[in-house]
Amino acid sequence: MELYLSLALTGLPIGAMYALQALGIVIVYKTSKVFNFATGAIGLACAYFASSLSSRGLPIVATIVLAISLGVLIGVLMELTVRPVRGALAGTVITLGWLLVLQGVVGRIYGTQVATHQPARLFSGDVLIDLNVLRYGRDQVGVLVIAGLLALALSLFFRRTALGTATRAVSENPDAARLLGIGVDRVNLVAWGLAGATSGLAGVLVTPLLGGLDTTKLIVFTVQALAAALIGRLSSLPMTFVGGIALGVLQPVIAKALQPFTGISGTNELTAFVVVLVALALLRKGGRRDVVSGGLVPVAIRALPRGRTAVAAFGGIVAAAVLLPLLVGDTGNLSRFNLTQVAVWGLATLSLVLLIGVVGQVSVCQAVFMGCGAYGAGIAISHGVPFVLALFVGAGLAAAVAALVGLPAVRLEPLELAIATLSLSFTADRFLYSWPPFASDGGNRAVPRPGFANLNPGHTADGERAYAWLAIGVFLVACFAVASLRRGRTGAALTALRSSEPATAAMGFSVVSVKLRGFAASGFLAGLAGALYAGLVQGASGASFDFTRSITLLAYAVIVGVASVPGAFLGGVVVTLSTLDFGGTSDVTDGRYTSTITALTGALLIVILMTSPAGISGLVSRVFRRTSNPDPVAEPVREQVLV
Amino acid sequence: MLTGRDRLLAALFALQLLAVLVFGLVLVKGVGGARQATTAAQLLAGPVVAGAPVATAVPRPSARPVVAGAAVPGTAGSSTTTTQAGGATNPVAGSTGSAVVAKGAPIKIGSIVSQTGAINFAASAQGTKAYLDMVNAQGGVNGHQIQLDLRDDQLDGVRGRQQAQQMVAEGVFAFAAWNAPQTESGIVPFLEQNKVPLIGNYGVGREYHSAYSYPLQSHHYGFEMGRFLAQEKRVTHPGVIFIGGNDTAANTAQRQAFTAGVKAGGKTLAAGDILQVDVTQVSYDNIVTQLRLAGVDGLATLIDQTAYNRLQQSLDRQNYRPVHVADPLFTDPTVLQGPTTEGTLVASDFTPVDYGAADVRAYATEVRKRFGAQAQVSYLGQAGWLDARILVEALRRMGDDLTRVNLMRVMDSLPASVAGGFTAPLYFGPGDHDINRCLLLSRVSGGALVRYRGFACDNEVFG
Repeated sequence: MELYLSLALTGLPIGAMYALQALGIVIVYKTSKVFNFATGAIGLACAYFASSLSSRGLPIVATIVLAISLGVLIGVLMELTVRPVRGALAGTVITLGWLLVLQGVVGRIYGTQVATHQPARLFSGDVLIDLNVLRYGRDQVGVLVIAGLLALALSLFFRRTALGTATRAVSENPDAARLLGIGVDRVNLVAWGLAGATSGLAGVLVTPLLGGLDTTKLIVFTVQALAAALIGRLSSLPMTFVGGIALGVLQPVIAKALQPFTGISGTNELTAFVVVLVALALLRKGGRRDVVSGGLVPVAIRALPRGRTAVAAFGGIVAAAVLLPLLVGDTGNLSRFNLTQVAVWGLATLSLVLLIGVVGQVSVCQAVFMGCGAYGAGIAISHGVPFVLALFVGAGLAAAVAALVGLPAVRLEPLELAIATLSLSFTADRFLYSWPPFASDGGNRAVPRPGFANLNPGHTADGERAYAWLAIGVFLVACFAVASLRRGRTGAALTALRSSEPATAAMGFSVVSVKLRGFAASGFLAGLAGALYAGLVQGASGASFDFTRSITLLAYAVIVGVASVPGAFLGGVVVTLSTLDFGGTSDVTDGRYTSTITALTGALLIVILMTSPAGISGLVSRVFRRTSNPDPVAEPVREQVLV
Repeated sequence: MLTGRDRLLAALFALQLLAVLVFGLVLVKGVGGARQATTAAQLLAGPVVAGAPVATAVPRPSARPVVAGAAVPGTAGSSTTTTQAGGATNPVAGSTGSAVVAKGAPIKIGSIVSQTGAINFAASAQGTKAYLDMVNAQGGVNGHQIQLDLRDDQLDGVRGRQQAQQMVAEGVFAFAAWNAPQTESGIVPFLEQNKVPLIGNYGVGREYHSAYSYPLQSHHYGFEMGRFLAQEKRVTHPGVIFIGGNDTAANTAQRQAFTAGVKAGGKTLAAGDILQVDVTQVSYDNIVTQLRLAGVDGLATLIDQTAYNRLQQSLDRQNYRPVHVADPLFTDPTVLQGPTTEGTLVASDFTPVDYGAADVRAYATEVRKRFGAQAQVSYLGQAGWLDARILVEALRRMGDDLTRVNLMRVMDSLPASVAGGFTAPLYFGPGDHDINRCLLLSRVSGGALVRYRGFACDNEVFG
């Protein structure tokens, strides 16, 4: 008992770290209903900034003031990018873009090497409290006290000050607040700035407790911060503090209880994930889906072209699919390997086109479905299942997992679903891929190629060519299937669902069933992509399907356009370009090249959402339509993908 | 008609497309083209020819039994491989593992090092690069320059596998100086399938049990650290912390190695006192509390640099001072040293830089010269340097017979003293490659490492 009590007490300062990070999330949500996934990244940027100032001899107080100022600046800039976007979900996706931008910029400036920068320290680590079984350092007590006081102070600010009252008014009904003469934009700006300051302070205070700095620090706490924020019902700052502390106390106790099961890792993330799910189930307000809550308005997948144009286009695509693997070689960046990658990532993007564009839900865990497909195929092959069949076993497993994830989707608001799926991404990273039934041989799972595409010496070119044809063939069939969704009973159900859920039910369709089928189909496509990718590289590893991959996949899907099947091909090209390996070749690298790509991806995501929510392909088709049909009266209804 | 906003959007889109186009062209024509051009030039000069027959036959590099029909690697003929009962492929008759390098042509070496990510080994890449640059500046090896193709797998095993595949397609002669644990964990079948030797690697899983893999870092940390700990008279109740990987079998093997080592030192290690932690362990307060309450007075730790900083914070905070035997990452420049780290014992298979041995000093000097302010002189850097040094030594001894099979034959016959004062004698030979079996123990004194125990070798335990 003494042991478990002591372990629980060790979690207090850690819980305070979670709470500090969660406060930034709640402040933003309270005013704009946007879920700020970049709160850890703001803290990271401020912590690095403070570190560089401190190393130049600046006094610690001035360092912290400047670091917090940077947090305010970032918060304000974020608000300015979120402001033009209608809807909380689009705003939330923009914060994912900011996460990538900030992580990339930090990596670009400081490099990604571990612990090469020492954090700025406000408090020393000297012992302040001695409980006999446990001692707390000044730095730990400092974080605990500041987190508690900050939660209290901010709570009072929102309750007792005029600005705080205005913030609450804006949160409840922005239009009514505007009519009452409240400067809604100014209030939002203040709230985002305040949240940025809180996240910045959190970064500076927390990083000394974590050893040296690195660019993944704080961001990996996002799932814990999400859990704490949800315990606070995304509104109560004191309860958020309590939630963080509770989670911090719970984690070491659960880890100890699971210690005999030595195969299990990532128990902290798993605990947080369970808390997120329970909190969403118990504390949610209801399943409405409207503009205020940030729901998605699905868009129709355009009908397949008909007539001669269609025949010519189809013939051209098939010819290209057949000829390209014959024409390109196996070296350099224009290779059969990368051709296959385009098909695989195109398929992954297509799965998001189906989910977002057709079903109207957002998933930030598409890479998890890919991972399920990859590991599932590997497991099937290890049991003697032929490769092609194993692809479908993996895809089936992914579809089953997707359906499980989709179950709450029928009750959750889209934004809540985004939270749940992002939490799953973080958890899969640490837990699922290390789970003994999944992993083998050092955490990787072998996925040997089929005989016709083997890479035995002397057969490499033939093997790569055959595999490229297989992947491209699967991608084209999938594109055709998704584009054909307009037809038949499923198409009718989805069309009805786009208009009205009650109307869909009145027409005899089960809304739950239609949504679940959509989720499962999306998971199936993602799983198929994962299995094909695993076959391409002959193995599955968690690092290929981590939370960053889920975020960037969503980013790329939004960038290319979530309503466009051809856009999926463009998505495949863009993802493949991002994986190519030129920056670090033949010299020692410090990660600056990779960081630049990450930052540019985030920036592009933000710009696209601000200027053209339908993505590049939507923009193309819009400009094309405007050009070919100059009569504005005849202009089709403008697409609104992320409303 | 297009509105002004649409024109703006169209212009923005055009810019985006242009950027993608330029980006793509740079990739395909620039980098890809340059790489292909290099390959083409090499082919014209005849430096790397995969599949060329080699008359030289070498003894079977593995002492283990192979299935019927297996013969000697490198013999011209068919290119089949056979699989052992354990699933490992063995080189057999007529392997195509006979790439040769033409006289005077550069020798292309492929290296994968995890240089970015939560854990990274950039110091190792620096060591390798510095050594090979030095050799090239001195005229190369037997008239050949060494061309290093260095990749970063970003701690992603399948990304690394893809890079290895690409490097084989682009004609590397051999792999060398890898420090990429995720990629290495599943690389042995690939090496055996393609018959490409890997000289110098981190050493994961089956890498110690393949004829094609030559790990130069010790496999015996768990055992020797356990034994060192148990040999300390002050220790009555030993405990262990190690970072577990995704491989359950490897984690179990690590527990067994520590237990066996402590037993060899004359003490007992209880199963409950071996704590396996995640690489993302935020705080070690709970771990330290568990060990302290259990009465552990001697601690062996096999963790990374970030973890050492966090562990030391907790040890200091709880004023808990067990006898501490750490791995060499404890002395990494990124691990903070202070009054409370004084007296920590550090086990290592390489002679520490602080000892001032000439061979090791040369490494530090060269890396600092090559990388200036960015230089990372550390244990990991030593590993990269030693890998390159052993590779070059083998290439020198190969003379004009620059074939993969000859490289393996020479590697298997290198003398034990080839590493000079860099490490203890190395054990080269055919079969399982348990090359580096010895660890020494140093003590942190005045912030530097001083001798504490000489090299102790474990010739018995090899799992």
